[in-house]
Amino acid sequence: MSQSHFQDLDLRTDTKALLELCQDVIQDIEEYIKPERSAPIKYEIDFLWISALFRILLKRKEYSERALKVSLAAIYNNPADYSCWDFRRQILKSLQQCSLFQQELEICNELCLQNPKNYQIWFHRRFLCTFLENPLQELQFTEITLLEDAKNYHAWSHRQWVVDHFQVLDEEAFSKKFLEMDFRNNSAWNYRYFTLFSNMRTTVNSLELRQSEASYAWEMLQRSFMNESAWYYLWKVVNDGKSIAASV
Amino acid sequence: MDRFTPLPVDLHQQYLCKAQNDTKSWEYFLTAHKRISGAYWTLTSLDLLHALETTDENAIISWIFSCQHESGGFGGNVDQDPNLLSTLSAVQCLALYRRLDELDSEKVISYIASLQLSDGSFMGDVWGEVDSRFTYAAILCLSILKRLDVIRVDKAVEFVISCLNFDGGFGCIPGAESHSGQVFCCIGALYLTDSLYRIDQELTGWWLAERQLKNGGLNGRPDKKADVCYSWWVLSSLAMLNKLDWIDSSKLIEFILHCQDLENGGIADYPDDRSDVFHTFFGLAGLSLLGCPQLKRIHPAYALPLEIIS
Repeated sequence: MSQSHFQDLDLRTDTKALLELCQDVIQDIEEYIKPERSAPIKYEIDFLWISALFRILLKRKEYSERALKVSLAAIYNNPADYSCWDFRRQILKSLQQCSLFQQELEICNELCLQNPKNYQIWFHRRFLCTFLENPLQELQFTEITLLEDAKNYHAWSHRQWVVDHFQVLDEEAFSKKFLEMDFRNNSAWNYRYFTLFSNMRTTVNSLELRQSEASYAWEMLQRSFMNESAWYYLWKVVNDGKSIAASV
Repeated sequence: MDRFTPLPVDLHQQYLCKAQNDTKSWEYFLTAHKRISGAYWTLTSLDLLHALETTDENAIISWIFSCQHESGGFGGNVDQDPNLLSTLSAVQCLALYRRLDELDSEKVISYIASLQLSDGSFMGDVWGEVDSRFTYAAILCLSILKRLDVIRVDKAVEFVISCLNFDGGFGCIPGAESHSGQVFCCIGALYLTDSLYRIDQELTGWWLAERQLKNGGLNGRPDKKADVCYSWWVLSSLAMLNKLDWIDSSKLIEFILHCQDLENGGIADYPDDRSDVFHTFFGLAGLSLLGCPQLKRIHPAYALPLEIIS
């Protein structure tokens, strides 16, 4: 297949640029074009060609910088395509360049904000985290996401993972901030309990802390007794407190 | 008057058939990577509607097998990497068609077993993400294949218990917020391994019952909106705990029926939203659990028609 063949097609400039970059491997591209996976929109043909090019590089196990460019185009077309994310992880592991990991994080930031409930992107962040060892960046990013949607389950779970993995202490103010914004935010109540009382915390057996948390929950209930989460929280810290007191 | 009215079963059947063949739709394109789960939702819905025979069984089975890898696991579509959730969907589809005997079950079983970690949890695939959903997928798949013996069931149960929260709910990993979808997965895993005795079933039942809102719908967490998919996840969990009567079934039925698209068919997440195959399945499954006479009975743990399990 020659360059002139795809030059004649009505493709976007960046699609043509990627095809030109991969001239040496696209001889059999047409067998990878799967009509049943076509898209209905204006750039239908671009999606098909990008997808086909991605499949060629994937099959060749080409872990290169141009493979990063091609798979990025495929991911912008469909951010939930998990095989594409898998492929990018293979490439990053193979190339082992710190600058590429940081660049990948910036791509993730953009895609995550556009697709905040996408499982693949959040897991990809976790993968990057273990290489970059950047808890502060992750705490900042989850905060940005949560300010957009204060109950985003993925963002809270990711933050919990970061806090646990990197042994981050002192998150009390964070949950308090979100409870001030919405005292019924169940995720924030759960996070508060996790960050104050989960196994790694030195405060795990603190009776005094549980007493002050019980007061805090009660104070929040004064704003409205119709607050399922606060009741659960109060009940839990009081019961914990009873067990601790009994064991002393 | 029948409280399951209106339920235009022919219209929903037409919607599902159209969705399968609507290869030019945006939804079809964006769900290509998980087509096998889409197949499970569509086919099970059609079976509940007594219409599975309208599908091209041989073509579908052949396509399902083309999604299988050397490792034994299945991907979401041809050329997609294998993972647990897709493997479960593949096995469920084969079970629906009663063609499990065509599967090389040893390969599938060893793939699933290879994903269990030393703490009993399961990875979703070789990349290592852990989530209680994957525990349920592994246990259900092996239950269908009657080979739970290949994994450490005791350790898998310990992991599930470690995801139990103070409110009686379960999260995706230890300490994560209780969420109805995760509760379904954990209760399902405990049910299939005869381990429900390990939890305070009244407490969990209470958390689940609290999911019902004034509009009759069920939500996923406290202070969130209702969504039809929770009609399955919450309801089937209550069914496994023998507490289906802990929610107001008439109000829930009303809510699900209001989520139907009475012009084009299908069910949406919320009234007046657009239908999709995912919510159509969960809406129908919820109605089945609530005893809708026009639908086949569904098993709450297997999420397959009862007649397949027996």
